[in-house]
Amino acid sequence: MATDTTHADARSGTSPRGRKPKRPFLHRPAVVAMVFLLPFLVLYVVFRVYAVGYAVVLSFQEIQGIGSSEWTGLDNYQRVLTDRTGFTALRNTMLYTIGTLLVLIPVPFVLAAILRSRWVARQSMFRSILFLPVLTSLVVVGVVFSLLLSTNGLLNGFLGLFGVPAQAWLETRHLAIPAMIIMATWRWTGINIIYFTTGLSNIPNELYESAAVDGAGPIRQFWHLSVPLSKPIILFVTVLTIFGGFQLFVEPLVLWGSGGGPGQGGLSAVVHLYRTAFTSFDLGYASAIGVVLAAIIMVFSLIMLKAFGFFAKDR
Amino acid sequence: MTVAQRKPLISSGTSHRPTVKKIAMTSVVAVIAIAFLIPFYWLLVSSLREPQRIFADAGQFFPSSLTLQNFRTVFNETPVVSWFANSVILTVGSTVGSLVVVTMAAYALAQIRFPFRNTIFVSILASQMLPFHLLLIPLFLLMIQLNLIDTHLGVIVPMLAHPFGLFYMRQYMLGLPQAVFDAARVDGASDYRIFFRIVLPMVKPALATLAIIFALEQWNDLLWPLIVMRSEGNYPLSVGMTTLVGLYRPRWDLVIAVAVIAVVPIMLMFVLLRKQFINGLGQFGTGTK
Amino acid sequence: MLAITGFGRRRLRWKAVLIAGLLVAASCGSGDDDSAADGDGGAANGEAQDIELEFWTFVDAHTDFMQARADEFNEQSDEYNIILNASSADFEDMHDRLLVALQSGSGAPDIVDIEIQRFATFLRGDVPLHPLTDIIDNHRSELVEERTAPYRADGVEYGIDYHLGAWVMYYNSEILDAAGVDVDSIVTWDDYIAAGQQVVENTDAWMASIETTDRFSVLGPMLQNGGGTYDENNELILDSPENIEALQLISDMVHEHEIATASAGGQHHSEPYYQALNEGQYASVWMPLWYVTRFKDFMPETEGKILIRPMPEFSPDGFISTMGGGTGTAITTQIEEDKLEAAKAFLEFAKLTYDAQVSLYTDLGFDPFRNDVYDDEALTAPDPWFGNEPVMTNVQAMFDRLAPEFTGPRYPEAVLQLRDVVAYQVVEEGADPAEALRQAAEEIRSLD
Repeated sequence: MATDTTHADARSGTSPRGRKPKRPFLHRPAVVAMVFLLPFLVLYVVFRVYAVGYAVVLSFQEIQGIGSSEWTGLDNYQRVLTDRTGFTALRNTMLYTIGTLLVLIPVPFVLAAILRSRWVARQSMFRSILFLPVLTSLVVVGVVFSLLLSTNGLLNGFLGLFGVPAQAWLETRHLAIPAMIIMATWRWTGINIIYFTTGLSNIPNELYESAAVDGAGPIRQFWHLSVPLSKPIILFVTVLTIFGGFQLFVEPLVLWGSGGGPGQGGLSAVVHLYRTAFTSFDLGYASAIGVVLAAIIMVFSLIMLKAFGFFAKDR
Repeated sequence: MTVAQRKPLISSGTSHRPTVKKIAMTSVVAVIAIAFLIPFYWLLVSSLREPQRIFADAGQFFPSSLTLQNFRTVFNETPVVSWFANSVILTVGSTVGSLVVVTMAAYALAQIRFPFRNTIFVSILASQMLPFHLLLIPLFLLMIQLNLIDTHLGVIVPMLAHPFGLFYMRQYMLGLPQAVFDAARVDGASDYRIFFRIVLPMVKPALATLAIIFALEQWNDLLWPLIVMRSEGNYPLSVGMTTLVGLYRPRWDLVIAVAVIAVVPIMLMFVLLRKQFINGLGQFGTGTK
Repeated sequence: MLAITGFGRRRLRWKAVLIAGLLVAASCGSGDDDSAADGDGGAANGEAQDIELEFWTFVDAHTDFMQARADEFNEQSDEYNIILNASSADFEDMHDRLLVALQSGSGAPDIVDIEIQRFATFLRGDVPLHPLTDIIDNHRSELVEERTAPYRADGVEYGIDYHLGAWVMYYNSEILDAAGVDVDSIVTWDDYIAAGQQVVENTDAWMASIETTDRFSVLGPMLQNGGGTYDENNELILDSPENIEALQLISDMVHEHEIATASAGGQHHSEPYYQALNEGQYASVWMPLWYVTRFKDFMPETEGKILIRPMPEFSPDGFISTMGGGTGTAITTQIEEDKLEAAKAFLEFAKLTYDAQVSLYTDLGFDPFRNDVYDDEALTAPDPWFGNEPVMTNVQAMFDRLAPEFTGPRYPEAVLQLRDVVAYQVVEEGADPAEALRQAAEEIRSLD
């Protein structure tokens, strides 16, 4: 956001726009903006705004079975506050989101940087390999991971080499979230590497060259050039990861069938919403859960945006 | 337009340094890569096992006997070729469509000053935060109204306005050197001209990235195509595969074979197009036209 | 600057209004030509009338089964010629798609399989399914009455199952022999526990596996003991004494007698479990009869070794089996009216007639729920995989000691409580069964 204003300010100072008010219709800024935005906005309004509005309206209704509804004001929102299962689900979801943030930002970023350095041979091959998991259908990934993570599975075998005792990853309440983070790491690392690679390639080489001339080693270069200059893309991936974390849904479903996991240790907020909507057919309450969840995600995202914004001011 | 030269990053002065470092680093990355490949290895080997032995032998890392039986069954019993074709149609259609829509909108939001542009942007993002399951019923109602049930357009069109694609492209465009635009404006270039002649070439890496992201999302998407598509011949692979996971008689032999069929062509494409792929992605400023 | 901004804003508003108007117009316009999805099912010229029926299922094998029945139906019927458009999707996906279509008032199939865990969802409010009581009445005297209960609301039946799903004990005879246990000496649960202690002492295997993330291990004995989720009066009985007794038994097997353990993978349908059961890590497991297909599909090493017996009894003359799982085939109210009679005639033919019920066994490997087919030679044949015994004949012997399963409005949620919370708490965390069930019941009552 801060970057945004910087650009805008710079523009208003130097842009010749202000001095030429009489432009042809199609070249007026607002018109130009509309022309460029129009396709997106039309699709967005027709398909998103309508659907979101529909869901928000439902959140003020009680629905009992197919074809019946009744206005109940804020009742559904009140119910959210006393929903025990809902709080379990929210806690799991937050833990998962924090876990993925801690892993899926730094690891892919460092890997992206290493994979661009000249210390690694066959970079493109490695990048393609790390990217493969995301191509695989989650239905099958669920099967593969239930075998890999089983008590006598490969992961325990590997950890056993370091003296770590075998864990029942998929059958223990407090290991359900770590198991899903392991799966997420496998699946999403490659994609984030690609995001970061694109970001890193946007940094002019001259900066690295002059840093090298000043005697900065690779690690210094990484911290003082690569990281700060990748800020817009790190911000993007962070928001995306928060969003993805809070939308956790398919993973618990393919690992445990019902989506609850051992002792509800894998139950996510969206699975809870989904069950409310599609198993209990309580569409009104499900919509209220959705709205509250959206608000929470939005708050988290805005905090992130703000945090990154302050960071920019300091520099 | 002037853009930086193509050159590897980080420590330009190290080319003559010992190769020990290179070997060590490459080995570390190789170990990670092998770990990432293990699930694929299992998938591939399982697809070549007899149906009965898929789980019975799951602990066997090196299989004793292999067969192509599962693939024969898949081709004989399921319209896997149509599924594949549908996946390709949906993926190409939605990727191209989304790229056009998103890039245009991102330009407006990043480079043109107009009222409410931040409000518009934030509300677009906010709408994405509502879990998709809640949108199924209203969207399905729309599809019925628009007569798009069981059509490829019905799968593609509602998803074209991709908020995160827009976010990404906007972020990328904000990072472009501002001087270029100012110079062009001083020269009297219109926004349309700037967009086609300056912006598009400069955002090529972002386009490549987004193309991959969009393609992946569509390739893997299950829920929406499942709701829209009704006839088996119109299913993409993702949906087709779930038809085989029956509750009382799951056909894991076929599911795993289809999963391999879904991955292998893309793997091959990666290997064959690796140069182009990485160029579009990795190196800054490939496009200087 | 200001002037431009103001001007731009006005423009934008004006444009926005225009766009909004256009959009409304566009969506209304396209809404008009809401042409019906499929045309009339062909003209009835002289002979059988073509009837196109859309059928959804979440079991791929059911599409073949129904298609075969449609072919047979068409051969013998001179009134209708059924053209079945069958499609399958996985469990969650198919039910979601169905719910979306039913709620939207359009796009639902004519005939659909609804799983027992989801059936109650569709019986709330205005039931979007056609009553099937009349076609069931035609065969009621031959049917195992208990199997029609799960799909009934207010005395009206809306679904017809594919199988009885009789609950049985699968014993691995090789392990029992090694432990010196005679399988037919096990009559009561006490006998079972004693045998289990012998197995644990003399072999490397556990006597039993208990699911911690699915419901079958806990629900089976609960139902068998006369408990379950609901009674016949639609009352939630999750915390009934019968359920507590059954769950206590399971808890004792795990914690006190140490003959049972959490199943590999947490579920009897998980891949690590198939592997473990195939390797002989468990001497027995209780599951519904349709689990026979799992042995044949995924556990080749168990061939010839598995013996099927009734569940051990809680009390003399008490129930020795119950029913597990289930799928009701239903007709939705979105079917065109002129097709309804044909669809009902077809469904009756495909699910309830003698030949159809024989096919349930020969085509799908399921236990039929029509009494008179058990004497058919197709069902009396011995099964080499299962100790070369006549499995179906043995199932029939349990019919007069079969506990019914009733479902109620919150059946889906009750099942989720059992599989997500109760089973795990009792087996893995040593929770008190009575307390775990009380909490689960309370959670479900709080939903209304």
